[in-house]
Amino acid sequence: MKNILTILKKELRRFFTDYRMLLTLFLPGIIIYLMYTFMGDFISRSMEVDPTYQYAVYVYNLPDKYSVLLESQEFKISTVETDLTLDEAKNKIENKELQLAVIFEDDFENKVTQGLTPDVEIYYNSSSTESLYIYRFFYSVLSADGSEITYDFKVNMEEGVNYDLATKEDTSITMITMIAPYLLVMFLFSGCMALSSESIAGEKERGTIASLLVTPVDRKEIATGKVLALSITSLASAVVSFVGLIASLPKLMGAQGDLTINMYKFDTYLEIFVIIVITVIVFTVILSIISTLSKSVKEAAQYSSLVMILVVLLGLTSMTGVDGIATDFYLYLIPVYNSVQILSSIFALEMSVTNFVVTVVSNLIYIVLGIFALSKMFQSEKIMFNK
Amino acid sequence: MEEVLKVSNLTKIFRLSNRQKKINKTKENVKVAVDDLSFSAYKGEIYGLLGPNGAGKTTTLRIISTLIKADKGDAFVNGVSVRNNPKEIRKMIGFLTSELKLEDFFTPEYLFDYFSNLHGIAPDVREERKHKLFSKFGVDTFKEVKVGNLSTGMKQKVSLIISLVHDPDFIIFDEPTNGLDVITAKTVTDFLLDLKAQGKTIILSTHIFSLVEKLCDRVGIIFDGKMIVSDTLANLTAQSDLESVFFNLYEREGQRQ
Repeated sequence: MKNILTILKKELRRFFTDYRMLLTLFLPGIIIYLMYTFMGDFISRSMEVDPTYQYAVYVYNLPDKYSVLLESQEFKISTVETDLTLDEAKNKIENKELQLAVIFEDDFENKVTQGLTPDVEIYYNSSSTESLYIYRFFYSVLSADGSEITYDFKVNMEEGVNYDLATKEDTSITMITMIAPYLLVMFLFSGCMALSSESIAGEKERGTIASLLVTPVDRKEIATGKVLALSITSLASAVVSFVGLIASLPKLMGAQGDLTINMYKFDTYLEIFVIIVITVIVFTVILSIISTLSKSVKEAAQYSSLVMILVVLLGLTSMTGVDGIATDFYLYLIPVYNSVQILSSIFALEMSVTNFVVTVVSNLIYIVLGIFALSKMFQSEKIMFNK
Repeated sequence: MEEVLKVSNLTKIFRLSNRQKKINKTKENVKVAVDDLSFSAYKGEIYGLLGPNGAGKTTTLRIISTLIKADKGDAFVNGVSVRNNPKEIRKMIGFLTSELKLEDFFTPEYLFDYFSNLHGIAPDVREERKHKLFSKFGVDTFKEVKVGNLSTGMKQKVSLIISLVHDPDFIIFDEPTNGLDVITAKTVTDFLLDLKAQGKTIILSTHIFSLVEKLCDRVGIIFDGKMIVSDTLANLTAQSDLESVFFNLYEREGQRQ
């Protein structure tokens, strides 16, 4: 028993006096809390609609009983002229000019009274947050009413009718915009992390970096050479990840309906490629700095995983979907966040050239500054030879 | 005599972390590793830095080789300041120390080419030099084997060769025969004499008296970062052998402290 206690005390002392060990032990819990909190926040924010938003709703044969729906305190609704044909109204919903079309069957009240269970059709566009939002309101009220025994009618029950007027492209864009930037940024970071952590910290640990430092090669050249080599390798991994992601997306989200990537043309892929290249180099520079500051590969990996939390959180901002894409150009000065947002806007086919340029140029500046900082670190004996 | 190396009042102070204070059993926040050290080495001679572990030999050599910076003083190689012109110094010197390792993944052949390119050596010169050095040290037989698969002696031979890819006139060897078997150690010492015969200037750090007696023209003895004596080997050993001289000085310094 005494021996068990001695061993126990020694082991606990080892675990609880090593801050790195503590970090490894307790960080996952903190990460989970932060990730799910942010994820929940972003997802609920993506479903939110500006309370002052003016909904345009096409109604046909609206019974007096339901005119109160249009006067709801929660929604500011304006009805559109009823001389539109249903097809015209549907067309407008598809183009997001109208949010909803509510069609009550002719002679609705009488048919209900006679127990003939008339139909109500509500057309909406699920790729528009506003349309989806107002649809849910109308559907919940009407379907609750329609299920009463004394007042029976059917809501969106007609077989073979597609009430969601979102096009395949719109649905795909909505889904891809939410998920692809996050996944892509995570793949890029993981690829860079595996290589960069080992690269400089590993060389320091093994003593091979000193052999390089006694050559007459300029420190900036060493830093640039290392960053470029790591970037090229990470980029190769990133390109494979990207192709895999794009190819698998329609299958991954098959359960959500038919998805397509046909709306993306060559220029879309080119824009994505530019952002991938620049983001990979930014990640490589950040991780190389961490690797240089670390005393060992293990330490570099631990610090890099802290940065990964930040990248995950920034990646999650894509979950706000098409409507949540940042518009202010100064937000595109924030590294990593700018990559996530510009990727979202590219996938949403709503990219602003200004924001694209701000992202590329600001990241190039960060890369140059990072390489400069790295070369300074290579000159510091405290950093390069700390054991 | 042409002065190739001039070390002038070199001082290096290390700040100690709490862990290092515990290890060194001291409450001092700093350790003076090199204390106002001065000496000179002349063309075509081998200068031996002799001292116990922790005396400051390696720190001195690391400062001269530009790996670390002195807090005070300076060193000059052919009149070029280590402090002000480290890049120029790196072109002029060769440095071999156990601290400099070669990447396990690569072969001696690849590493020779790699470091030659970093030194800007022309391909034809590189090939000629490589052939000469590889033959001399018997590296030809394992030039395509990854460093990770080589024995300690083989690795040391490769490191030695790599430190000379640019054929420097001034070479620093920090404990060059450490951990080597007697045959490899003999190859290395013979090579040092060869280099000397070619007119190269060599600084050698060691704690092996016989090596100093065999190779060095001039000797500096360091204790606690201070240069206790710097003279020709002939003058130092005029009365007694080097080992006796060393321990007499060691005892005298111990009593002084």
